[in-house]
Amino acid sequence: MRYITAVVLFIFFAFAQWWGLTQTPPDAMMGEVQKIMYAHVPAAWNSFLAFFVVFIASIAFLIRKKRRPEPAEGMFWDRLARSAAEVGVVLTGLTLCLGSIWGRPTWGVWWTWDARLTTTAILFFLYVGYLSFRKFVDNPERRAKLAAPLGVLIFLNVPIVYFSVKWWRTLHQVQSSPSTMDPAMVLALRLNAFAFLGVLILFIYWRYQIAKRKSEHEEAL
Amino acid sequence: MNFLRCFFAVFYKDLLSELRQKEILNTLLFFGVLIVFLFSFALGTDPGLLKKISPGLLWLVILFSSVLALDRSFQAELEEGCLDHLVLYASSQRALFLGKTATNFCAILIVQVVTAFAMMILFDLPAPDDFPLLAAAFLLGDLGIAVLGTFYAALTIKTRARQAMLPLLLFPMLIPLLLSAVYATQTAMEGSLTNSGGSWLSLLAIYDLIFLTACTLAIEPLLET
Repeated sequence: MRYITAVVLFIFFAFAQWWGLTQTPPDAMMGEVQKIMYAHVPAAWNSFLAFFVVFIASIAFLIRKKRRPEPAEGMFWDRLARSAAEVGVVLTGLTLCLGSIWGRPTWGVWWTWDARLTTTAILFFLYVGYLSFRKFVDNPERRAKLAAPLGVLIFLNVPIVYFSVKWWRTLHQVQSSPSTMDPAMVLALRLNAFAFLGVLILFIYWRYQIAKRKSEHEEAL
Repeated sequence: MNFLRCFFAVFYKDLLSELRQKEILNTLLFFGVLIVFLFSFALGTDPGLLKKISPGLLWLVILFSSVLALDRSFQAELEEGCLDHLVLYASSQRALFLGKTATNFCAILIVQVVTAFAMMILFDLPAPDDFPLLAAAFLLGDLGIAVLGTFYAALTIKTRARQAMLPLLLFPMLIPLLLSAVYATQTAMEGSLTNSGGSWLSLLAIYDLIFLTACTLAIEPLLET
């Protein structure tokens, strides 16, 4: 069953990418390089989604712990937060790399200090910090208890980072809305967004299973 | 009432032990002035350049030296094995956290003022253009560093590689604070045509408010024994 889901998802993903690459018109100004959008934008959207999952799972853990302080309680939420953070970091890294590859021919630079770009990079650092912090606490219960407030606090910082950097400087082009885009592009973008969403859910599920097995293994020892 | 008494007791205790020992403060003051001195070697002595980048340098010095102080803030108790007792005795862990924050705030503020003076003398900076704005930027910026720094110190206290973890986690969180504090300071030092200092200051105040609330609410699971 697990393999069937993965195979179906892979086919859908490949189809969505193929659709974006071949079935859409090239951009009027940027040409073919714009096709990177079908991986860059879905990855960015879904990484934000993953970080939102970290936030919600951390809050759920804290609430659960408050109600029932037994050691084994709330570990589901802790593992979910951890898996979502891992997948979110991967997608953010992908977003940054693809954006950089796209920015070089379009803007003429690999990197620029624009608001959304800088915010994404800071997000990347914050969640890499979150993950490496988790590595340095050995006791699983204690780790869960310490990581949850961290997951909440980091997410609270995101809007503040965004606005402060926006005041600082801005260059990123205004988001296109469906009304300004070719309908074929909108369709391809939506298709890819769902394909990435599927990847996100599958990856989180896999990482969750691994985390669960690991803790079962630790308990057995 | 109990909350306030607990807050002042922790604040007083930490302040007293710091004033008697002068361990952290002396180290920090020396460290701050030393870095300012080092900047001149690294960047040359061109007065125009130094004047232009001094607000940014000042806040970087504060960031780096405050990590030293923050790292120590739970250390004395931990070394003597009485952190758990303190947590148990305190009527509220939030009051304990705020008391520690207040002590750190005082330490960082002192270092900031002394470093700023050292910078003005060594870099030959003119007197600040807008003194109240400068004071407000110092107060709000240091408050933000103290709040988040104390929170992260509590977070990292019992982890491995504590000293490396603290700046790694803390600095990305402080980026908005660094940005707004530097630009508010720059406006205060040089004056500005657009008068953007006020809006940076309000961003700083909002940042402080959000994290003071969030950290105070979230501190309990960190200090539990």
